[in-house]
Amino acid sequence: MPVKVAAEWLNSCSGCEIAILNLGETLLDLLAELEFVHIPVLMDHKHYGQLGDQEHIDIPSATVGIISGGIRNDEHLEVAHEMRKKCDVLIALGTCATHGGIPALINSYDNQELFDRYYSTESTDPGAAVPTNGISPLLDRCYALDEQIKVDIHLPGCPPHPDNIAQAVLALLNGDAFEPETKSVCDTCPAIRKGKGNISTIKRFVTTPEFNPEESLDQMQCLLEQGYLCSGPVTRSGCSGANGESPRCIAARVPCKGCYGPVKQDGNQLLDMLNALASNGIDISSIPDRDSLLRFSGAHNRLVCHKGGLK
Amino acid sequence: MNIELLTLSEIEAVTGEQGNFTVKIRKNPRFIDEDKCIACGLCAEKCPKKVEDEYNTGLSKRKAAYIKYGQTVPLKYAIDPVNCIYQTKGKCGVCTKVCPTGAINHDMTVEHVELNVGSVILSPGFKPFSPAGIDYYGYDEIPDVVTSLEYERMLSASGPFTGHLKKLSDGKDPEKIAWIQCVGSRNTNCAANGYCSSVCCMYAIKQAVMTQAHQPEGHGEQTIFYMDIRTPGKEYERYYESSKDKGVRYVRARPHSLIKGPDGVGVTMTWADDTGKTHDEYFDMVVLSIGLESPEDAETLAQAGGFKLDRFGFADTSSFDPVATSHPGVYVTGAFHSPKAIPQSVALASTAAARAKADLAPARGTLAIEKKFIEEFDIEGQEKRIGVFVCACGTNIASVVDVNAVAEYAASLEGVIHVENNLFTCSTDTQDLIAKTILDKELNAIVIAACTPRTHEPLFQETLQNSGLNKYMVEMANIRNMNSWVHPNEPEKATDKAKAQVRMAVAKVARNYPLTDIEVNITPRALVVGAGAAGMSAALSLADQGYETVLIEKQDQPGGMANYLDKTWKGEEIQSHLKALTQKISSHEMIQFHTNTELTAVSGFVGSFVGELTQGEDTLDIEFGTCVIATGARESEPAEYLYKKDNRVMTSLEFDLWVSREPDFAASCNSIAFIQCVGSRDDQKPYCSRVCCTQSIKKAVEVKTTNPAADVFIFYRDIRTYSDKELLFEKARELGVIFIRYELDSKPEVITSGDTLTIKGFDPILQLPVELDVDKLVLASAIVPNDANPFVEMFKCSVNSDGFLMESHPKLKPVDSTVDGVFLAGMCHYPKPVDEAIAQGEAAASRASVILSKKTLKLDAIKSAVTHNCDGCALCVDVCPYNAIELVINDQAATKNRVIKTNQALCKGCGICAATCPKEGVVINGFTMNQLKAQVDAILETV
Amino acid sequence: MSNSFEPTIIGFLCNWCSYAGGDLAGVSRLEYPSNMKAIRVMCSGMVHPDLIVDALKKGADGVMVMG
Repeated sequence: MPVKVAAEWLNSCSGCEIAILNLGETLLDLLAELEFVHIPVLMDHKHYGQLGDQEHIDIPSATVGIISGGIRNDEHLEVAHEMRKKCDVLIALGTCATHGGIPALINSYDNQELFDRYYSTESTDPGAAVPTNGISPLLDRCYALDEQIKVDIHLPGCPPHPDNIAQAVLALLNGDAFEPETKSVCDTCPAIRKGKGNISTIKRFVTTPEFNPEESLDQMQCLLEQGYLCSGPVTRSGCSGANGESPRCIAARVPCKGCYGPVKQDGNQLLDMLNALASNGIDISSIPDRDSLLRFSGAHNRLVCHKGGLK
Repeated sequence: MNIELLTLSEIEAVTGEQGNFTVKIRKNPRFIDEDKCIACGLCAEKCPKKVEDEYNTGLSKRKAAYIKYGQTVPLKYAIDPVNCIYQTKGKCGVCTKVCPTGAINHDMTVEHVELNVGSVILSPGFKPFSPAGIDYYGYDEIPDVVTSLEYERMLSASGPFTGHLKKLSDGKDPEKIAWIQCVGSRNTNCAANGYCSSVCCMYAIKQAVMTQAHQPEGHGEQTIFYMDIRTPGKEYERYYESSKDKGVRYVRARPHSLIKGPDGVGVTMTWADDTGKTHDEYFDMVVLSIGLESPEDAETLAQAGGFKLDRFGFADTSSFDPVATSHPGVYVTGAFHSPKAIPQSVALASTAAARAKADLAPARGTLAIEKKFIEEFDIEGQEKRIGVFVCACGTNIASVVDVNAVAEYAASLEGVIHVENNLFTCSTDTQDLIAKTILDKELNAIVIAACTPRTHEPLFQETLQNSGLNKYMVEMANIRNMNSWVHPNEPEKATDKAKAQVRMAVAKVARNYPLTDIEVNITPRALVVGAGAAGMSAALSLADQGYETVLIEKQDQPGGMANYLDKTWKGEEIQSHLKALTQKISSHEMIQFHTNTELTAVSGFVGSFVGELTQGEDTLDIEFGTCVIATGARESEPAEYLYKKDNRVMTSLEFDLWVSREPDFAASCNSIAFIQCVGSRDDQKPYCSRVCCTQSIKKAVEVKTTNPAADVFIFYRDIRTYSDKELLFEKARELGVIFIRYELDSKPEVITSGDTLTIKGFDPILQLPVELDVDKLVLASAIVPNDANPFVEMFKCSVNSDGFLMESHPKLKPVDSTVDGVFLAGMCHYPKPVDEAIAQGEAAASRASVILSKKTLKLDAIKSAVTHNCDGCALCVDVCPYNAIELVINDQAATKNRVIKTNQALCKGCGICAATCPKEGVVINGFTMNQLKAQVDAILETV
Repeated sequence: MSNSFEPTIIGFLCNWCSYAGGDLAGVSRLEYPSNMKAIRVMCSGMVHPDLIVDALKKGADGVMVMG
């Protein structure tokens, strides 16, 4: 009998859903084993009944629940609780769900600042009201799923590599425990590494790293060792998939941006990276925007609003 | 275990001969049994007799039952029979009543011990000069005139005022403080101490800098009155210069007439400046920088030991065998050799040990004791069965902490299956009991709640080993030093804290796992690089101790810079000594000597290095256990004073060479000048080259002795004839050598007009410009190190900013390099005269032989360990201070990913790698994140 | 803040210096408040910032790293 699956998307962009589709032929094999009972991105199944006639949110029961996106407003929260109620095993899919992701960058600002910036520009009349009608009220900040509901499996990535999704789903189908990666992006990165050498400051990525485009990646010196801020060491691996590819950004000769979030679920990319750089004698004040190390993991109170400056 | 400490003991007689002495020792009674004393301090607390505390120079009180200071070794109390009421009047005995271990024994008497030893090393130290009775310093009259030793105690956080400076007159904070240098040194007037005490300039600077640091911003003024600032040691000059930047004021004057300030507070001091003008200046305090004298009982000791003293009462020694007294087999070290600072004292101690070890070589190891343990049982996979032993330490802990409540609490903790209270957990019978309990109750993890692991962990580790349990399965909760002793008035809080401490220790030990000490095989061979005076002395000492030694020299002949020197300042012939030394190393059966040879590559670590020797086209691999680097230094080429432009201008060494070719020179020389500090003590080379003052003055004396009519001038900045070299300076002045001081910003000028070589300068004593026509000008040019970078590359050792190789610790390990198993000797470490180079060569040999004397090197197991989390991100590679981490291909994995590998022999367990790693890819065994976090959690757990 | 506030302070003390200093304070019978609990480390360099942040997050009022 196929396994019932319910999927939801909250504060997200649909990239994770596209990653599911990107499973390609593997998806065909999996589909036979799965029965999607609720997946708004693909199937028309409404929260309050097809006619909008029900008072309470209703998602069908499922063995496996998949949620992409974090929680930013009352609606997200309500849906998340309903998913938790109806699903036996809940998967947080993608970094927005696991660590807040890009939308959690808002956590550096409070809602008032957000509204001021968004609804009040040079050309708007003073005193214009902020629209409220038909818009779900915002929570105070952007949350990762596990800050609000219990999550069984974390599958980070922006988006997660289809191989990661396949591994997790297959493990579930086989009744095996799914073990997330415990290593960092460096694990699969083929760049030449020697140690941090004499680097004392971090360069902005406005110059091109040294490499020969004719040569393969394993002939290129580690970008961090070249002085660029590469989040590889503090970012969970996975973006290389299961078939020996190179990390996605590195393959494009671009430093890792940290999209898989911290290596350990409760890790702190900013703290770990600054610590490691400082230990290596690198002047961390040379990094112009240190908070950018949390660009994918700003939930869990990592990025906080310092209205009126740091106290 | 192999050192027996006889305290309160004096040598009465030394008989016999080198290699077989009988030493008669008088062991004065301590009146406290060392084996029983647990240093609880109750005797001192209850002792009713207060006496002046000599350790705090009489500024505080101690009891008649006392320890001299907190770090005393052995940490055992003693009763001072001169002051003890029971000893003097036969009544009291409070200490006997309160001592919890029955250690007090007022019936102890003098014991006479006879020891059979192979050699004797004397290090009785020095006596601080007493300024009492010298009227113009007013030490006896003026409360705010103190000696530097008194001031040192006043500054000390463990001193009588807990580091808070105050005037002895009115108890207020002093603002303006002056130091007067050379009190009892370089003085044949009020004291018969013609020598320089070597250490006072540095300690005065240090005290001034530390005083500045004690003062709030904008307060305090420190002035040092001096004759010459003598900072000729490694990094000393830099410290002196930095003290000026910090605001320390220096005045070249020898103050006289100190009188009490207004209302008996402070000091009014009269001093004269260069122009002869006198100043009356008020200071809140004046510190007399007192010198070092030979120890009180030097005469008695010399008689008992059968050796000679010099005219100042220090041991009489020679430059070529610096630690040997006139009695063969009796050696001397420390300030009793000659006044010296800690680095030289510690290095010289190793020199003395080297000489003694050579004497003892045939009997080496015959009396050594080694501990053997039973086989360890396996606890892998077992659940933790924790035993907690709570010590009362007599009343030391129990009088404050409720030890029964702590034990009761411990029993409630997870994993704890056995708890016990002990009166003294460290006593021998309790040790046996613990070992038995481990077996009876099948315990596999132990917590000792007692004193500090720093002193007692090894003891309890041994207890575990005696039962067969892995020694790393014990943790200590320090409920004495860090609890009952510091919270005596808060018993409830102290008990709560003790519970938390036990909880922490249990939480940690629950996460301990067995560890194995590391053993490294030792290649029984030493490599000495550089065959100058230091290198040859090192090689010869190692060989004389019975170790195979390979000595290599880059040049085609040995001798190094010593080849260019004729005599030491004392007049000993260097060339004949060098010849004898060369003869010995060439013929010694334990020495392989290669000239024209360089060390070109090194791998490995202490105990098992592999090196590549290159001789021309040929290379040879050599295994060695330890290495002495003695690559020397050289005279730099001056860039000023018409050097190379006028052939009458030459460097010190060129002058020596020239004199040796022109033996009649002195007789025909009418005038000669020396300029000091050429290239030293300036922006480029901000260090003092140490040897040049003595070198130039020695030459000046030679000229003046041969031809008294000759005019001899020395242009100098500070004359730095430290120690007894001062006598040479005195002699030069007596002979009429003219010393003209100059400052860095007003250097003398050298010009030629026609055939005349003229030096223009300014004489601060005459307060007039001078122009001197001379026949020869000798430039005392700076000593620069030979390139040490290859060694930095090969051994990963380090050099200081002047290019001299760095010692591991300037005071505690002055001849060890920063890399284990590699030692430094001679001028590659810092410029030094022949006697010091020889001493350091032998010292390095002594340190090296400590490694070679064993077959394997045992290292503890608190080291880094790579976990499966490591992904080779390499962030930790460069942070390791010991270069113990390398990146390797992980051969365990199917893919070619990388991991780090740590070298256990190089790792010191500092854990910087673990603190750098973002994913616990590397941990320190015994101090894992898991263990530390468990302790944090245990602290924060609310009960 | 009331006078009854008793902060929980965690001290990471280096075995070779500050822990030794703590021992010496004991030998010298210097009194200080009992709020600080010491965790002995072999070098203050082994104290990972995560430990400090973790301790503060879990409720420590202060963390001292001495070395």
